[in-house]
Amino acid sequence: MSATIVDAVKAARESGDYQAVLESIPYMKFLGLVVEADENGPICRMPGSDHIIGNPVLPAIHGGVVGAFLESTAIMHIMWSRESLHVPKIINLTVEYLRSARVVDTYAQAVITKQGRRIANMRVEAWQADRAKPVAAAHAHFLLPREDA
Amino acid sequence: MAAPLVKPRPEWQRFPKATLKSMNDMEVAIPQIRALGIHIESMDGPVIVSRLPYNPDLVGDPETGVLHGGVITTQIDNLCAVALYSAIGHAVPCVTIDLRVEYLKPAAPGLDVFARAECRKVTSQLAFISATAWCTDESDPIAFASCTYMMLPERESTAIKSPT
Repeated sequence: MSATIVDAVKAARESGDYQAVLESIPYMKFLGLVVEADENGPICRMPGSDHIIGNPVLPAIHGGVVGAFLESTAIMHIMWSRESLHVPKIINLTVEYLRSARVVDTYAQAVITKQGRRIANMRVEAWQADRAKPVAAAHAHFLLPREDA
Repeated sequence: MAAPLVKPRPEWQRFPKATLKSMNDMEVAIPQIRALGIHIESMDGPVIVSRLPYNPDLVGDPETGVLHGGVITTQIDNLCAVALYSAIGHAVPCVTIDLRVEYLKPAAPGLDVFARAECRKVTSQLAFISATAWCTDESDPIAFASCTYMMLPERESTAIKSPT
């Protein structure tokens, strides 16, 4: 079992397609995430769906799901950036909620703001129709697995 | 730590009363919370506890079976809102403006996650809530969190429908 995600990451580095890596992580699959990439790294997309709703009256995506989406995007970025063959461990995450997240396609992209040997500092932004109007932003620290070759 | 008594504000009164039953009815009406199976175990003024059942679909690391951090984030975000409702007695429309979670250690694979939140301060518009999560022993926490909510009593819409 432990070979599965490592193999998926290695294959993705050959092909450039990280969807199989994403789908080997059950909760990312549960959220229905889709990963594409541009020259700056993975752009994750979370399609609007009923089970991610946190406020059925508005309706809006659950704030916790927005946090989970930002965290997932940061994880995919670290694995894409060749920092890790394994899922990096999150240390902390601070989410700023900027706008109500409607139940439509939501996108996110991360940047590594500082990278050490053991820790990666990340900044992630999520947006919907207009990238200039982010719905949420986060900064987070991740522990990079030491056993990585 | 004695919680400060929150003086009920007139603009909160028209929203549904927060009881353990009404809060759990609300939980199952929220699609994501229903999908995660979160249940409010206890409510005591500003202090409340919820439980998230372990589910392999919610795993974040397939090599270890540890839950995705985002699952804990969602449990805590939801719990903090309910702690606010419980503290002021009414489910007032509110939005998260800031949430910070510190992941002290991975959740134990196969075990349910409990979380306790305490609403520590309520102002006319804001609520400040802190939370702790654990698996088997509250003195061995897996996460700490702090959360800021903004209340929007001028809004008609709310996560739960009035019981009347």
